[in-house]
This record gives sequence, C-alpha cells and structure tokens, in this order.
Amino acid sequence: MSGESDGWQILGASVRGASHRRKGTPNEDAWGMWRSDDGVLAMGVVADGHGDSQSLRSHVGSRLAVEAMRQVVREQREIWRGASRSRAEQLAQRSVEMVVRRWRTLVARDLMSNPLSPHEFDGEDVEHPAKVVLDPMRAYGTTLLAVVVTPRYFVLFGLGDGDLLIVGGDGSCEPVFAEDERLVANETTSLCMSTSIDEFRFQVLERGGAIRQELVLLCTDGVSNAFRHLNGFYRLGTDLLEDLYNRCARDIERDLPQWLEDFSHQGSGDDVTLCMVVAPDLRATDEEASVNEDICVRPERSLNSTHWDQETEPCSLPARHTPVQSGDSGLGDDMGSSTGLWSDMWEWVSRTWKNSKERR
Amino acid sequence: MGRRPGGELAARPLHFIWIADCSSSMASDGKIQALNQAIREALPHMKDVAADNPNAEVLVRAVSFSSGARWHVADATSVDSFQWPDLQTSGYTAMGEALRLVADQMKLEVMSKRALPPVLVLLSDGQPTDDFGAGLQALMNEPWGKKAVRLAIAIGSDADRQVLQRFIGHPEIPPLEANHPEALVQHIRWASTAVLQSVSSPASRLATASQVGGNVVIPDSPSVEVDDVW
Repeated sequence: MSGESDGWQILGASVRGASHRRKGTPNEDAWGMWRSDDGVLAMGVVADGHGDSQSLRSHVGSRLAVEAMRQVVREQREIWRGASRSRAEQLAQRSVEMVVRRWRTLVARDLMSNPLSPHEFDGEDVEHPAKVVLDPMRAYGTTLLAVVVTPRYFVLFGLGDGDLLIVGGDGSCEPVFAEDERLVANETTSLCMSTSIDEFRFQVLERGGAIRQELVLLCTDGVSNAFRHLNGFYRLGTDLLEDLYNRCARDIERDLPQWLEDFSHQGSGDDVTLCMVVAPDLRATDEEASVNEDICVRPERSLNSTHWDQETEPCSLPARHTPVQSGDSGLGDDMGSSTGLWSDMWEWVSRTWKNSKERR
Repeated sequence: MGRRPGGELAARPLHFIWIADCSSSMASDGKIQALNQAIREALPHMKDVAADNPNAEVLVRAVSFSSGARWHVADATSVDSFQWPDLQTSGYTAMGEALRLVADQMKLEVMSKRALPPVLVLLSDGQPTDDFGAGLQALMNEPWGKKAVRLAIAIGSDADRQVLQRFIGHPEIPPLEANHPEALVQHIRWASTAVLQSVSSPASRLATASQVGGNVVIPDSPSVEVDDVW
C-alpha cells in the first residue's frame, strides 16, 4: 500500500474546442484541483458543460460543479483521512448527495443574482426558452468527474460522459467505470437531471496491490472522441506514464495545452480537458523540478481551471451577467428576491410561443 | 515539446445514407432521372459543408430497394470521392428489407460510439410491399438507428406519407413533399447541406429515451412553390 497521499501531483489543462471557436461559443469545460493543508488528501475534478441550446450557461455550470465538489470534499476532510473501506463507501454515497445539492444551491444563487433574460435566447427555437424557464437548472447542465486520493483509497466519482482512467505501473490503462450504453449521439447524464443522484457512479479503490496505480486521468469526452480507435485513447495513459518516468511533470504540463489543441483540431473539435493525478515518486529523477509541492502549477494558459492552494479559499467565479433587479424570483424563499426580468421572461416566452403557433 | 501521447487522431465519422426507392413506378414521369440528377447536383454542396466542418468525416453510401433491397453504394465513402451511380427501376417496393439492411450498420460494433449521429434519408413514391413494420423495428432496435436523424421525401402524390412519418418518428418533422423535379432538388440539397451542417457540430445534451437524431436540431426545410407534376 502506498503511503499518505502527500506528494500526489495534480496537473491539467483545458482548451476551447475547434468547433467552439468556429461557432463563437466559449469553453464549456472546467477543471480544478485541491490538496488538504497537511497534504493527506488530494483531489482532481473535471466538468463538461453540455453546450446545447438549452444549456446556455453550462460554462458557468461546469465551474460551479468543480466548486461544489471542492466544498464537499473540503468539509469532509477530517472524516476522509482515516476512513475504513465501508466508511469510505458510505462517505462517497453521502458526498454524491451533497455535491448534487451543493451544485443546485450554487446554481440557484447564480440565478438569483443573474436572472435569465430574453436576450440570452436570441435566435433560439422557442421551445428552448420555455423548457429552460420551467426548469432553469437545465441552463447550467454539466457532467462531473472527480478523484479524491486518501491515505488508503482512491475515491472515484463519475456522472455523464467523459472518462476516468487508471494507469498501472505495468503500463495498463483501464477505465474505472463500465461504458454506459445509453450514452450515444452526444447524449449524457447530468447534474441538472432530477435523477442525478441515482445516475452518479462512484467507486472506492484500494491503493497499491499487485500492480500499483501510478496515474489517474480525468478526461472530458472531447479527449476520447479525438482518437480514431479506443486503443489509441487508452494509449494516452500509457504514453503519459512513460513520459512521466522520463521527464519533469512541469515540462509535461507545459506541453499539455498544445496536445489538447491537437486533440481538438485534428480530432473531436470539442472542448478538451485533461486532469492528471500522478503518484508521488514518479518525479524522483526530477531534480530540476525542485521537488516542490508547487508542482501543481497554476495553469495560466487554462482559463477554465480552478486551483485551490491547499486550504485557501477558491478563486472567485466570473461575473458575466446582467445586474440583479428586485422582484419575485418564483423559486421559493431561499432564492431571495430577484427579478423583474423573470416575469419579463415568462411574458416573452408566452408571446413568442403563441406567435410561433399562429405561424404554423 | 515532447512527443504527443496517444494513438491516431481523427475527425468523428458522420454516416450519411440514402435509402432510395427504385421500384418500377419510379420510372414514370421521369422521377428516377430527377432523383439521380438531384443527388448528383447536391454532391458539390455536401463537399462544401464537409470542408467547413473538418471535425466531421462525412461518409456517404446508399441502399436501393425494389423487389428486394441491396447496397447501391456499399462502402462508406468519403464525400470528397463519392460518386453517384444512376439507379435503375424495376419491381416492387421492399422498403422494410431496405431498413433491415441499414439496421445492420447501426450496431455499436459496426458504428463506433464516437461517431456523430448518422443521417438516413428515405425517398419513395409508393407504398411498401413487404413488412415495413418489421424493418422499422429492426432499425429502432439498434442504438444508432434510434438516434439517427431520419428524414423522408415523398415523391409524388402516391407516396405513403403515413409510412414515411413512422420512419421519421417525430410528429413535428413531416415528410418533405416533392411533387416536381425542382422540389426534389431543393429537398435533397437541404438534407445534404443544412441537415448535414447541423449534425456536423452538435453539442452534448441530456439523455432521453426517445430523442430522434440525438441532440441534432433539424433546421427548417425550404418551401418550394412550383406546380405539381407527379
């Protein structure tokens, strides 16, 4: 069994997809990392906002998902430290429920301070605003993948498309979760679904064993879709491990954005995000890496990343909406007071829907 | 810069399949000639759309059906090198058998999960003379068959619109009416350009059991105002 999680390196990057550049849409992926102040716990997380016309704030939703995961793991850090397997499984189930609730709370707060407005739906089919107004969580729809490294276990979480891979010391690269046969044609399960708690998958995996786990990869689906064959995708894990044996992790992180650009431009066209959680002693030959916890380099070229320096508070989320107005949100008391825009929205949807029906 | 990790990169395959009626009734009033000509004229426009969407690898093929069904163009051919061999008419309208042929290609083992939703365009001027329901069921039993963008063009007034509507499987997407060669040209061009464009760069969305065409938003079809010939 490996020692404490102290020293696990987490690195990653996210790039805006080639097709998103062509369409003028933002990078809807997000990722983040966190370490407890004593180095016992480490976490990597990625999220992929859906990007269909109903998910018009999914680039925010994915960041909120990363933040929700961080908050929940941070709050439970004392319990995670010494958890037995059965306790860890209970905690994982509990974490799923907490993450879903926390994400919904964060979304509700965002809606409250930045209400949906008609201009966000410009050019969209009338059915979409109606669906989003009836269920505004849809606007923020996102997947979520995370790994928490504890002294004894990897605790792995997955909701929606995207891949969690474990690379063993023998070079084997295996997906953590079985393929979900339902998810073809870019369809995915999501935090915004009413069934998201049931759809969430998790696994508690003991560290060490006959073949030691050296690397955990968290990838949004833009990565796997970039490869002609599935084996080529799994080779990504094997090749990265070999690279980590031979090169400084800092150098690999420097190369990562360009590789991701290649994945998108020559492959999927989608946003691509990759987070690597790397076993501590792979960097042993890395004198120039200055053996520093700061190996979790702040990814300056990766605008969608959230990096929490140990116990520090998270980066603030971007402000990019219209100012708050007073009024009834229609979302219940805990949503506070927002917005004349909300009722404007209803009126606009009703009017447009009626006009559309008359045209037909 | 280190060597890029992982295997070969590639655009995502997008399979486009014409399913064309070439029963003997298609010989009347120049329908088959108009169909051959319309598809041939649409090809350069398809190529343009494909060129504008380099992350989709558009692969075209065709099934024809009369007294039986067969692959008219069997290999999934890059749109850049695709050529349309003229269809010849004979016999009846084995539409169900044609759908079973297509269904075989809609299995996950055949069409990889990373593919974009396939586009199936059914063109017919008559009524099926075999078990259409069984063929449609075979298609819908396959993951990609269910999620395919399914469009239909009714050629002439005798086309069975109910059957074509069942194939489409979406109440708000009716079969396109082609009662004139010009209308046929317009509809085929729309299917092979506007729809192709929409399928080429879809975004992910929530999984639902009955969603037709995955997450693809079908653009409005053109209105064609010409006098009926067929």
